[in-house]
Amino acid sequence: MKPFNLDDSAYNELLNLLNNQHFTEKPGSESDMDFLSDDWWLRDTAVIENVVKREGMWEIQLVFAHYQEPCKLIKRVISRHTCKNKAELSAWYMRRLAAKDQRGTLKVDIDDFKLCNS
Amino acid sequence: MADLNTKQKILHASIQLFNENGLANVRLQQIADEIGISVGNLAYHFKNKEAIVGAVNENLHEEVIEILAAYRLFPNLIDFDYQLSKYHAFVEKYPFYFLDLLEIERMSPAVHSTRQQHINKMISQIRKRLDFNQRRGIIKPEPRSGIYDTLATSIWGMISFWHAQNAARGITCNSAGRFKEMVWNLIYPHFTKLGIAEFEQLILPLIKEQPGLSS
Repeated sequence: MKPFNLDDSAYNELLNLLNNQHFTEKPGSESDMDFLSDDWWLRDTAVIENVVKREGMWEIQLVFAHYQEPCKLIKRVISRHTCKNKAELSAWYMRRLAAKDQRGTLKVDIDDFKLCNS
Repeated sequence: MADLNTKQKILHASIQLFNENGLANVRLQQIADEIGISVGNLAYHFKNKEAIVGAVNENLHEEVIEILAAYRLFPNLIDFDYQLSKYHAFVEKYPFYFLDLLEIERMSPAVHSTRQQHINKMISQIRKRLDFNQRRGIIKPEPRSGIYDTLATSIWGMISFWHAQNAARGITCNSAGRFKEMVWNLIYPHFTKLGIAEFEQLILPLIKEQPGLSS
């Protein structure tokens, strides 16, 4: 088999890109890693699966809510399925995978949200 | 495994004899004598000298690729100095590769083609180094279009024909210090003030560490 070889113009372009890298890429700062500590609160969250019908598909959403401050929550859309049963089954597994607390001792009660329907 | 070892022995002995006597002056009998096998046995592994040269070239190909990979590892002049050290080690290890350049290429068109690719890549790298350092403010802008292309080719010539020009002039000192000094001196007139400062701070101490510096 003939060994792979870059032609001259492609090789020159590659060298240009390596040169440019020096001028375009900047070293990161410490604050760039803040997202790690910013997300620490997720360790103390309950994970609630939510299957909703959207655009003719069953969408799996996972809601991460802090077990002491339930209003501190984030919602993540995971995937969509055509079948409701399949979506519910997947959602159950997704929740089990995502939950830090596999035994489910961290709980958020619906009443904690103090929702007003009016 | 035994075959592999004999093949390796043949290649090592061939490289040694090519370096000592030149490619044209080495016969299969000499290579066989060097490792203590019969010419028939040698012919079983390599049918002729051309086949040996092809196999040697394949081995050298890996080393050349490794040298060419040493590009932009450091964001300053040390990068080229590091690559020059590798070039010098290669030139010292395989002088026949450069001294018998035309002979090897006449003998094997395949080697010629691979060699041509390496040469083009070497010259491209040197040229792009000049561009890179010009953008860093280390090297002056090109005074006239094409000058740095010529400079890159001259540096390649200095590296490749280092041994040949020393042998022609009867110079026996092939030290890394002299080798690097001659290459860097081609670039020196094109340095800006910043370039001279970086050269004196980073490169001169490295060259002075090597024996054989003329100044």
